[in-house]
Amino acid sequence: MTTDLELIEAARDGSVDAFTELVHAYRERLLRFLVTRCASFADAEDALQDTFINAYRYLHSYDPQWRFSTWLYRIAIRNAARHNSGNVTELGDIADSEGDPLSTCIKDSERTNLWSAARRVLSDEVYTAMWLRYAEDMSVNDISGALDRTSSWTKVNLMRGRQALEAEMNRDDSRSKAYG
Amino acid sequence: MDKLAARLRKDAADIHVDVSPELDNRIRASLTGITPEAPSDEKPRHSPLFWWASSLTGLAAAVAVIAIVNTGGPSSPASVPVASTQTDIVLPELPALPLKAEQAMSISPLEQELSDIQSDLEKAREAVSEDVRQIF
Repeated sequence: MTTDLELIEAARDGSVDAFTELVHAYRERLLRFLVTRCASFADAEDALQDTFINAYRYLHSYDPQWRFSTWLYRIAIRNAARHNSGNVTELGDIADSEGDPLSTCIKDSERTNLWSAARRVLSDEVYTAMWLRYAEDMSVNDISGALDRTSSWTKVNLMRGRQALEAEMNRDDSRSKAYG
Repeated sequence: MDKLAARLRKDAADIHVDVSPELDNRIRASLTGITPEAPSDEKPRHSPLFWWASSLTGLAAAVAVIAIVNTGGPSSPASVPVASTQTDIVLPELPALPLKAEQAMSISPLEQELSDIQSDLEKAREAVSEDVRQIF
């Protein structure tokens, strides 16, 4: 089985097929993240395409001391911010609109998806740190690298994010019990 | 794993996305039209001749400095340039004044004064010699 590093080496030598394999390995994970960060599904798709284009173009600058997914996320975060900067609506507002890409991608459930609540109560950076930690299982160091922050900042904000989401989770649980 | 982490993981997995074949084709088409940029921060490579030339230049400069320091000798104080604070004041030329003065005849009193001082000095010397003789 070919590893990421072997595929990266081949892609650096100009192999589109090797890079396409990397695209197939990471596209759904990245799109799931981008759907939670962009104002529309089309924006998320555009951001995903730009992420892979930028990654392929600047593949020589990838440092193998980082995980490839960390590097890709770093590019994706930047592209998501760029796509959102042109929109008038804030991320917190789109949860109520029918065009919210996240609500259309969440399975029908009796309880609230915590990531919807997270988007409402957390700042963009803290939300991203929480996503990378709990949805992607990234280490604190990798998250710091992806967000270009210190590990102290990451630890403190992960803790704050946890506290905020625990409060949301408890509120949701008590609401479920109240309605039987 | 704590309750919150498990819930966040499950909720993330509940977000379903499908990458459409159209998007896949778009990405593939974009990639084929792109040439990866070559690394720009690569250090320029020099031939061995460059390093030899640099070394020889450095060595020659060092030898020249040593030779100048050892053969030049100590510089004389006269050759050291001294910063001058004197400024030349240019005055306009004045017409010569007619001076009418006579030479003072003060030679005799001064000679008298000088001989008095010399005799006082002689007396003082004799007094000091007498004191020294008494002490030792």
